[in-house]
Amino acid sequence: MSITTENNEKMITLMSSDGEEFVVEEAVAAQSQTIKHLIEDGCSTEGSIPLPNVTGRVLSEVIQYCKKHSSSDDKEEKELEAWDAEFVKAADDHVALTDLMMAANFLDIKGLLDLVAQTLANMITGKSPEEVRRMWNIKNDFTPEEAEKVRKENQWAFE
Amino acid sequence: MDQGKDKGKRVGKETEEESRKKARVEEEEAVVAMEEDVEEEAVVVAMEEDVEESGAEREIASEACDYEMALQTELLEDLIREILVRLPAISLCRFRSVCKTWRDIFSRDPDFKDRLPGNKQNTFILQNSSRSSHEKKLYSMVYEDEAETPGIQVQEVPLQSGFSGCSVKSSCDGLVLITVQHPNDDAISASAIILNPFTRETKTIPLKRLQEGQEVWGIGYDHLNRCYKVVRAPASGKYSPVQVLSLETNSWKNTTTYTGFPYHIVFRNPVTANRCPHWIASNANRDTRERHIIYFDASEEDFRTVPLYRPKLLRIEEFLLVWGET
Repeated sequence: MSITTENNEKMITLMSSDGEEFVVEEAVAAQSQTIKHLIEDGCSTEGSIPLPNVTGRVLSEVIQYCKKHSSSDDKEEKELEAWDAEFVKAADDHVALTDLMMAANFLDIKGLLDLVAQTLANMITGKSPEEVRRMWNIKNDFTPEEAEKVRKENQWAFE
Repeated sequence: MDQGKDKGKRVGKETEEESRKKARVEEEEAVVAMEEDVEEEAVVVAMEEDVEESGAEREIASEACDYEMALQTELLEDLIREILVRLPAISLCRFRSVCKTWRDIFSRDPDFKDRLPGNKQNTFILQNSSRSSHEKKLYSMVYEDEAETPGIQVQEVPLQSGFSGCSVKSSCDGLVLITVQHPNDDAISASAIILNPFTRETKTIPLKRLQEGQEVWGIGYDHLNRCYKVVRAPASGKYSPVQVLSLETNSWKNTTTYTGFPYHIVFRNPVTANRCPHWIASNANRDTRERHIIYFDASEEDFRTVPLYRPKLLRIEEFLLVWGET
């Protein structure tokens, strides 16, 4: 990924919701389509880009990902895959992954969104609906009749 | 003795259940109210900065605050969608029972199904060849070549109890249309069932009667309204109406195009091509044995004839095959 080869040195400051500042190369920050558009619209010329939806802890992880992916070529695909696997493993639990996914969604970083969504999908594949509800504090809002109806429609899937 | 005890318990449970139901109805209303709030969320959040500390507006601000708190722990619908499209079909279907939002993502988002990743399983629907209609059953056969242990699983497709004599009528995009009969019940003597072997959903359409052997069934895709439609037509009797059912509205309507169905359908099971069911038919009004290929156009809700290149050179017999459809 090279946006401006001659401008490789250009730095951008990103500010997290809790006021932490991160100085990164423009090419790294531009992995995020949201930031890329902000830069193109000239929002970054002075001061820093505020990211009100992303905390410093999550942003530092996101930057880690973007750094790795902006410096790697396609030929290192295998190595990159291994790195990705380690990266989501380090995020540890579904709460951290959910935060990361929200940030990837807001910042519009497709690769990261794919990676985290797939990790979460793999995580819940074998789980019961009740276990999934507990993971994300989801309220079971079905009446008994509705629950039975859904169950009937999916009878085949429950076996 | 035990039965008596059980009965007593059951009565107790029923009243308990009733009060629980009431509570649920109230909860439901609360949920509806919340959903309305959510729709306004974008506006509310945008307004938040300008909100002065005056009465009504303060309320809005606190609601927005609550909502942001909720965001911290809850999954946004966008994100749920991103996770769900990456699930294997069977888990995907099981999680329809997590909550209403998860259930409705399937039906509310017309693009959701298009986004499902390539089917890693090949599912076939098989029917046994028993002569007795009671023993006619359907089986799904899943061939998994990408699984850790490649293999074939065969499983009976559970249809409603009491129904028998299932018969596979037509299929489109992997949806399978079957009919079943009920030997005893007078009110509803048959059903049409649409199976989705991929998500394992079933949809049942009760029918008053089934004229086995005298009618043809087909399922096709309506490109204009983006939905599937089932057509039911007389195989040769000119006088019964052609009926069309949209899977979206779930109701039958008679097409008004024909005073009498003008075709005599030779081979009743259709072959699907271009998402339309096709049959070999001859003209019922004319005394000619010339055969055509006709198909049901679900968008127009009408039958059409396939124009053939130099039809005189081609004598259509009994079989239709689809070759190399994309």
